Amino acid sequence: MPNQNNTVLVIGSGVGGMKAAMDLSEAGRDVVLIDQAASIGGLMTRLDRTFPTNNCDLCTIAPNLSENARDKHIEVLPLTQVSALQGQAGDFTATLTRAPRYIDMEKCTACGECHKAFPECVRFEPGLDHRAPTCMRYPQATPQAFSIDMEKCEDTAALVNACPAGAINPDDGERTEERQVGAVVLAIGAELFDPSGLENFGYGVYPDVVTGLEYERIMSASGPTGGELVRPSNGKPPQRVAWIQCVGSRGINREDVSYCSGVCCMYALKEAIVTKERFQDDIEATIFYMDMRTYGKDYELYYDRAKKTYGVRLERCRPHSIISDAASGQLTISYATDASSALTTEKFDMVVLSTGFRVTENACQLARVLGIELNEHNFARTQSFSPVATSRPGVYVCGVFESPKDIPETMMQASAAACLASKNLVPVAAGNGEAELPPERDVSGEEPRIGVFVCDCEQNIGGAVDVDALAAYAGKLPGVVLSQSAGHGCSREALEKIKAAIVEQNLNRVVIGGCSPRTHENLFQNTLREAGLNKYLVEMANIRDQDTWVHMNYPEMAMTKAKDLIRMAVAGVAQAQALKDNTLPMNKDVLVLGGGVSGMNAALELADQGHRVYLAEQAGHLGGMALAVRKTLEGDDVPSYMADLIEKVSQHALIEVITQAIVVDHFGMPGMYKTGFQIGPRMYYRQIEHGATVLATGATHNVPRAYSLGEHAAVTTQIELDSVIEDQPERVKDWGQLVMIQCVGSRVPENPNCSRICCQSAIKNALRALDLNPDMRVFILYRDMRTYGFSEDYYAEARRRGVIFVRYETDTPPEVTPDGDKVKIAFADPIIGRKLAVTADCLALSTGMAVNEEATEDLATIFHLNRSLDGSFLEEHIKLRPTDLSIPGFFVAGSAHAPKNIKECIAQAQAAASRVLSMLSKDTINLGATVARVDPEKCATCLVCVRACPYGVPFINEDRYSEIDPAKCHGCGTCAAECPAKAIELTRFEDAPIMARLEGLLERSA
Amino acid sequence: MPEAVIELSEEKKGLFIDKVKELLPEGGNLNLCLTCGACTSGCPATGLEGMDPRKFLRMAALGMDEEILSSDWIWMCSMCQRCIYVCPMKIDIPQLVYNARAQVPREKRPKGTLGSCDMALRNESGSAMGTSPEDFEFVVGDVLEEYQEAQPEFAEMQAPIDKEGAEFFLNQNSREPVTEPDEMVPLWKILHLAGVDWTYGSKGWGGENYCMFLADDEAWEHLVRQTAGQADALGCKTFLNTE
Repeated sequence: MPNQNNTVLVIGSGVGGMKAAMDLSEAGRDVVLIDQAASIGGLMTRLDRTFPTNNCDLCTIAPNLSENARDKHIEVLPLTQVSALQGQAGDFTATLTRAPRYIDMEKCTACGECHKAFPECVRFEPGLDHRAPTCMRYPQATPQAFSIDMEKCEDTAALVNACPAGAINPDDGERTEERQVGAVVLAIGAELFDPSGLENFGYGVYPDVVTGLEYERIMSASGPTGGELVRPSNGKPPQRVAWIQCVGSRGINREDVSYCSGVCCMYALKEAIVTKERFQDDIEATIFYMDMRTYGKDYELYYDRAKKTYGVRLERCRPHSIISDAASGQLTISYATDASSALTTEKFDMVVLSTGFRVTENACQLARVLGIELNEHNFARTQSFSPVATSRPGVYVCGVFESPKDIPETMMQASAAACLASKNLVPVAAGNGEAELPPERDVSGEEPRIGVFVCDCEQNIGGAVDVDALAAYAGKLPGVVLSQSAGHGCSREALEKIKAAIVEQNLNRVVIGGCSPRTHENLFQNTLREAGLNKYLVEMANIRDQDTWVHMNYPEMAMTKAKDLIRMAVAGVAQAQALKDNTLPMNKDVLVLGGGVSGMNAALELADQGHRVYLAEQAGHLGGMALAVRKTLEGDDVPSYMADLIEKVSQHALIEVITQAIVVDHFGMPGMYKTGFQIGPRMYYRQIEHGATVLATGATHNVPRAYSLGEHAAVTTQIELDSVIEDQPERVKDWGQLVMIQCVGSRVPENPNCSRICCQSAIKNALRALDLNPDMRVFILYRDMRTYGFSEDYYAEARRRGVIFVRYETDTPPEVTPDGDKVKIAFADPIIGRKLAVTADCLALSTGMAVNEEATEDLATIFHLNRSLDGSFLEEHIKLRPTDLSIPGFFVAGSAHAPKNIKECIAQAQAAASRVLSMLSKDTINLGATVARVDPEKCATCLVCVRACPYGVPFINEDRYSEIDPAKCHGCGTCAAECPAKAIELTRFEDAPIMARLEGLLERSA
Repeated sequence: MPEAVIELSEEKKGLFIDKVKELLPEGGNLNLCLTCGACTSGCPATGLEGMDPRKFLRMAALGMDEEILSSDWIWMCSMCQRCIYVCPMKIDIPQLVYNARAQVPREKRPKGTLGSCDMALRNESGSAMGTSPEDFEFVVGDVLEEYQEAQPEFAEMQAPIDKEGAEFFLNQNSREPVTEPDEMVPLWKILHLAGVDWTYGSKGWGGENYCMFLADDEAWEHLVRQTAGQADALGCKTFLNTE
């Protein structure tokens, strides 16, 4: 029974719920993770590929699934719902109701015999129809078990007998239990709109009209066609595929919802790109859209790639209907183009309807049970300055149930929710973060007893090579005592089998023939450790990324290469030695750089949870960019929020605010950093010691030279207009015409990304100007209106109140000429194909944000951080780790990551705080075992290593040889490569195992 | 773009689109256009006269009243409502077109439609052919008799006119009694075989309403009241509009 006040109930086990659970568990908190489905994973497990890298979705999250299941702090309860929540923040009693699975999980081996015998009543395979009852929808399902739909079972006794393990229990019933929890995190997501009611698109009538999710299932290796892209109607590959955007979204007609689902533009682009990638010239991909909403970090670049690199065709039109052409068996779409009243008609083989998110009735019911307020669209209501708190204290929300959003934003909110939830718990007990493990077996001196496990990863590996034959081959290699195929080696079931094999066969080395150590090594290392072996006795042969993916169409050559790679790994692992990770005490203090909204929120959350925070700001005062903002789109008062925030930060006993602070140097390692500053007008030097760093250094207001900005008094920016409306209402009242131009200085070659906030800002200012003078004529000249999520409602409101939106293309930008006190703006209207001109009292340019090039370049150099193409800090993983930077112990929040509005900045600030809490919950720093070691006998004191080390670690000691402190060494290997005397070796990468690998490679087998 | 630049002035009072908005519930959502093109993609009149529904609404929104009210396109709309059916903003484009027609002086409206409306107003038939109630009664009786005799299985078939208390009141496209009287018969046969209790009216039997297409509100209303009044007078429960 866990400590009642150290437990968080996480409802929903999609990527958001899992992220919140993992953050909390890493921070030493206990988590009860429930889901009404039979296995965890949520929507992402059903997707095929994930942008921008177009990697397999399942491969991306599979380690998280099994990590969740294996984690000692996380109790996973599938088929479970909350039926009551009593009490208050810090002391809730949750009543959980568990539906019967009719299978004893302890006995089930997931052999599938029951499903073979009674496919109608055992839930297993996904149908193409995503609404079909499915349980174990994909091979990595966690928990690895089937479930039974007892209502469909006619002969219970026969079903029971079908199970060789005797795991089927027909008497299983609904169970109810109470749990004491300190906080609740809601991560229940939403479902996707079912377009059956929109008969003009023929969904459900024409088999080749599918939804986006169904298309993902068709493309997916674990889908109904095993990853073959074929038309549902005739099983033949399509040659022309079309996507229709906004189906059921952004409307008020029939079954529409008025909000924008925020993710469909990106998923359609991704599906189109993946389609083109796989079939190149054999397939055409066309997307019909209204506004292309690629507003996330680097999404605009992805959009450009879709058009230019992949030849995805984009047609800006919403087709009226899809008509089946009986003669050709194809689907006919007619559409309109700009400035021409003629229709274009084309035939397609498949049409994908991009459907968006809908809140389920179940979710509304849950909201009633939990006593939280919903907004007008039935999503959980949150506030502009409190992005993840629901109306009930102690209950937090993240992900799509808060508002439509994609995976990175869900991950940010999940971490933010974890951060706030942990505030409702007792402080973490020392040592609660460490897991109990069996003692390590000493294998030194033993002859290698190597176990080889070859993954098939479904089609990913198994599609190109014969995995059983490969395993049989590996079984004959020297030192190998066991070799077998492992299916999905990263699934929970396979990991258990590997553990059992290690113990039963007394293995002392393991080779995994599978994927990349970058994503999965940690998982397999932990598996070895749990089986009582040192974690450095495993080696991965990356036969997927380096072989079967790239040589998918050349199975013979792929097999030869797979054998080479396995042989190398076996030879290498035979030389592997048990290594001990170095540890040091953890410094629990935090450095937050940047005193804007993001930095202040991160600092406050961390200080509230007991950490000393140094909040360093380059300017002379706190506040940052938000000081220039007066109102949010929703009408919240920003200055009073800022005043309150600055007051709280300044008064907090654990926060030291340091203004006029410039970072000048930096040393150390995660958990014990030293950062040097020049502070104040006299630039005195001060060094701060800290365990973790949050970068919240923001961006800058972009001020491009365009459209007479800075030259004519009537031309201004949105941010200035925000203040003019607030401070000079009389002046605004007199304006007859107001014009705004969007994307000024954004989405252009110099600054290719979308600034994300400008569409909202323009609409906010247009509505406020109309409040002052309802007769004002307001024109907004735009390229794509990107009012994602609920901000779409404000876009509709602006139109309702008469704002005229006119689209322009980059090759025909508006022309601005002075006209006395006013400016004349000439622009073309693409719908009527005519040129219009407006003489405006004010021209407001939506100039957005730009990366603070100087600041990010300096900081990235000093901290050795990677940057994105646009110069902003590059996160560790664009999807799953949007707040972590590439160097452990560094986190990013706010517009230093990418442009964001205030609410989004606060969410990421709280997320960064959560990531820091997780990291600093440990009392020691694990340095890993990869460090440079100097052989004093060989060192010639030539100073090459001293000069080569990017971290300035080696020095010549009193005994006149180079010394490298393992506590400071980053294990990069530069010195080892440079040392002319071969006096330096990198542990885990010594000459012997590398030579052994090469010998393994070159020794051709018969 | 050969046309001159259109200068948009501050004055936006008295625009045609604003007048229509006042007439319609929710202003017909006429302000809400996303210019998505769904209407145009499905409109049978797209491309005629270089016009389409999206462009028409756009021109109205920009205050180009003169050009839209002088376009013959407004008379090419069939009022089928395909546009509003799929429009994400449920914009009442049919009503905008209808009201544009109403702005045109009656005598300048299309001759055919105008003539047909005027014909319907000549007598109480409401027939665009100008056929009188007496002529209608004669043709119906004559054709019925012919079929009763020629096809013994329909000897009992009826085509009643002004039958009091009939369940259904039917109207009739008035081109058929004049030019293709045999075309009336299949429906009679169906009604007969189905055992339906129905009747025509001597007044208001003409099913078409060119006055509606002409946007002559008063005449349109007159014709509707005339036919509905006859159905009421006969005590019919259901009005079956066959047009």
